[in-house]
Amino acid sequence: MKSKETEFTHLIESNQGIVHKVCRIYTDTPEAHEDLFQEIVLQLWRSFDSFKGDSKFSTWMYRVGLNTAITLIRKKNRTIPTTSIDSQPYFDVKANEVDEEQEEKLRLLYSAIKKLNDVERALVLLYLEDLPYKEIASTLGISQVNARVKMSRAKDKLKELMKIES
Amino acid sequence: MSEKELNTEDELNDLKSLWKNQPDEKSYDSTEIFKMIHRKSINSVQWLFIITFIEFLIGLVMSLWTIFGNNFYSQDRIQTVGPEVYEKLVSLSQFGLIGSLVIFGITFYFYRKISSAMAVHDLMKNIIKFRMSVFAFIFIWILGMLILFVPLMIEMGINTYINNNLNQGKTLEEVQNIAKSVGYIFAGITVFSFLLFSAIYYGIIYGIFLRRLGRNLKELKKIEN
Repeated sequence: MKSKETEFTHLIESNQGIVHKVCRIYTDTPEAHEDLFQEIVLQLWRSFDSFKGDSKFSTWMYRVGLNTAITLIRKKNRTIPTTSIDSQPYFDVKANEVDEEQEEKLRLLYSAIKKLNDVERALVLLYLEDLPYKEIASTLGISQVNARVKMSRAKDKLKELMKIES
Repeated sequence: MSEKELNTEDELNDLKSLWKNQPDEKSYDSTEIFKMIHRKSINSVQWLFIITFIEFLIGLVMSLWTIFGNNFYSQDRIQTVGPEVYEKLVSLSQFGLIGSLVIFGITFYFYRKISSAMAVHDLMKNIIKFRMSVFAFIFIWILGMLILFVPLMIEMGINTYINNNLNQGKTLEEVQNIAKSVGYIFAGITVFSFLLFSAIYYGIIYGIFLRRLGRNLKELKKIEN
């Protein structure tokens, strides 16, 4: 492996949780998850030269990941926005790692997130990842004021959806 | 989870810690990631650009062929369609060549501006601009063909008929009368075939990719509103 490839693969290996989270909120099946994961990694590799270190590697990963999921590799019915209330997220939370109450909360959270539109999902993801508004605004390409307004709406909607789900 | 619990910002903050502590599912090692970066994948934007580029190349070759046709076409053929018609065809091809170069240049410019590392909103805007330039390419191509080439087709049909049927025992007036009708039929068939081909070709090939990219417009509105 060339040194650039080695550097990249190691960076992705240690930060792959970010890509998995993007995939989880934009896909409904393990197959679609794997497919999107590979596409995001490929887009990250193709854009790797553009990463100048101005921002954190993780922030850059969110940006490329969201762009791939929302705009570039948009596939019909990758996710079903009107998922039924009974439907469960496809991933399996291990009971021995997370207690049952936590597991149920996580399921409700994913179920509610998947009822949001693509942009709201991106906002909620960045919020849950605790990114500052400055980075959220820069990732989405909107003003910080706009990001705050949209975030407030998305959070309200998420709360409402979680009420319905629970 | 009760309604009361979810009413506070604290609860949303709790969701943050829950989110951060969620277990990882499948984990890929560097060898698997290495394989991923060497696989081939073409997205809708790239497909659309490749198709537009091939079309541009075909148009370029056809225009150059016509412009430098003196070296390729036999003088007999030029005489049959009429030298003045041939001259007009050369002028239109030159015009078409310049027009295609300009529009393709714009399309290429927007294509180059698309990068997955830019902000989501900016990427959507650039994809929409690229989509618009492809639309312009198709629209100007169809309109140009219809407006510029149809009158030429009529003339070409008339001249071809006259040159093939003169000295066949008919008077010039008789031949000219039939030639006019032949010219219109010739142009009609050309227009019909061209529109049918355009509808099928653009409808299927571009329709798929342009519709897919068009979904970005909806998402862009959601970000801007």
